Amino acid sequence: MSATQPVAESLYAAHQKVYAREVSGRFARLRTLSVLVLLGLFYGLPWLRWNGRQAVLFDLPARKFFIFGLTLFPQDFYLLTWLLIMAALSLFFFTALAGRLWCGYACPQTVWTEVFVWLERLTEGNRSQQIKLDKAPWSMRKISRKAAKQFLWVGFALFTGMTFVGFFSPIEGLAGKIAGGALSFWEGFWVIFYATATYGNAGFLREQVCKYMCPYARFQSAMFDRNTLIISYDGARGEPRGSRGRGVDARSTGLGDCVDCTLCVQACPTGIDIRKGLQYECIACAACIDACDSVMDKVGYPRGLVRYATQAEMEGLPKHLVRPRVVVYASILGVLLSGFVYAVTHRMPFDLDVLRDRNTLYRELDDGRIENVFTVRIINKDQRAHDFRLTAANLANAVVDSDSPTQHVNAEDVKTVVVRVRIPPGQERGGHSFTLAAQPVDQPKLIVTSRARFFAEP
Amino acid sequence: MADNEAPFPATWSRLSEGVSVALWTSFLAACLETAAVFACFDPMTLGFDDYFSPSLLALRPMIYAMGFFVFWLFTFIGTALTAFMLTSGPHATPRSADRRPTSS
Repeated sequence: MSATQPVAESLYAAHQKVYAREVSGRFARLRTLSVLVLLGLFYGLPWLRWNGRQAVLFDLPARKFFIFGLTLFPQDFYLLTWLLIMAALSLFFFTALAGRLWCGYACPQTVWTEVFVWLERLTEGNRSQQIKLDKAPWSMRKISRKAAKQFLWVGFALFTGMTFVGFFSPIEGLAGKIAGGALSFWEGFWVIFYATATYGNAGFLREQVCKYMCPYARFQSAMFDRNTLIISYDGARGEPRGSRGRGVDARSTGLGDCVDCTLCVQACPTGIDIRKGLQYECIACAACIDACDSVMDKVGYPRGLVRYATQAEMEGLPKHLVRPRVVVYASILGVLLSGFVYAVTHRMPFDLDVLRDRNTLYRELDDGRIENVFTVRIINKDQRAHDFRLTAANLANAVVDSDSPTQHVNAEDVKTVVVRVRIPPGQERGGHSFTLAAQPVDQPKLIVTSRARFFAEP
Repeated sequence: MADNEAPFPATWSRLSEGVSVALWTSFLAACLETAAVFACFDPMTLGFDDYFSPSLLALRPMIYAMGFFVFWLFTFIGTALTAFMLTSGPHATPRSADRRPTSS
């Protein structure tokens, strides 16, 4: 071992980069596929059109979220909460089943890091070329390689930042604004903010985010049990490890199947040795499985010295993937998902908000009638316009008056109307609860209501 | 050491780990806070328009952004203090420096 290797006690040493070896194999292909699908969705979705508008747009200034045929208003916030609960439960389910699948294949941290590593290989070459380049003195070749990498990284990060902002501000206009230098301050700010975060996390920090900053990495062990599929090194089969000559029968020399080529260590993006057992740094990317399988193929041993296996399996017990914990998680998830689909598809297309006028409690008109003023917001979540008639219930003889007999509310829009509710003189005293209703003229059955208080003289 | 051998990654200092963890966890909390608060309250009804010129077209995006950073700042104070208290109190343990490298 060389003297340049840092000692473990160097607590405050600057971070040293992990040079992960490129691997190919089943899991590498799966990871590439996952990167393509997820990033394809991220970069592609904002460009899709739907009914003449951007298909997926979180319009914060207008307080409306458009997701294809669905328009969400702040009143639908509970759906987002519901979605987050489902996401958390899915994490429990998949972790109990097969460990950190999320980290290895789907986490944005992993996915964007894959792209940055790929761009790095494109400009600086493979693992040993990168190490050599970093050790070499500065030269024109080194400068040009490093500059090319930074150019690609920064460009990709900025494109990512623009796409992110494109989910909130129409992306087609955004591209034009960037070209014309007409970006608003906050648009520009968030493009730079997200680009910096992407560059920092995927280009610079990488596995350190998982090791030091990710909460999931810390509490994942609570979701594991002895029947969770984890990436494991089959110590019983591999040990004692050691290199061997070609054609030598390892059994006769007392060696196990591990040829100690250290490819699994070189392939690891977090720089750990899977042969020491499961460690919290492992993001379950399965690069070591691919690396080891390729060596096993070469030396003619069966694959799977490093593989997805349960702890029970490694101890010679039977595999139990379907177990109460997994079934319970799956059933709760199923119930929540059905409820969510029902809530989204059977959502009331209209909503009504009523606010009392804060300045005057009540007013007596010249003819003695009592008037209360309300600000009413009619929310039309439907994809077409509707006319609404406003009425009052549970308040005898009440007359609802506003600027017009019916209120026209455009598709996916909110209309704020000032409404005056009047009752004959002397009918009520003090406060009285009643119901304001908005009834669509074309669909009278879909009436929406809201409770309010009517005040008269005490 | 052969040319193609990489050094082992070293560990972070306690300070950079504490600050990064506090920044990241408070960021997550601030995202949730921003979403929840602005879903319930429209910043335009909170009276901000009294303080800012109404000609400011981008008032909502500005309040969303400022709100996010204010939430992040306050949650960061909480998480950073938590990290500091836990790593400096009687239960603080010396960092385990022995995780690696242990191989030859």
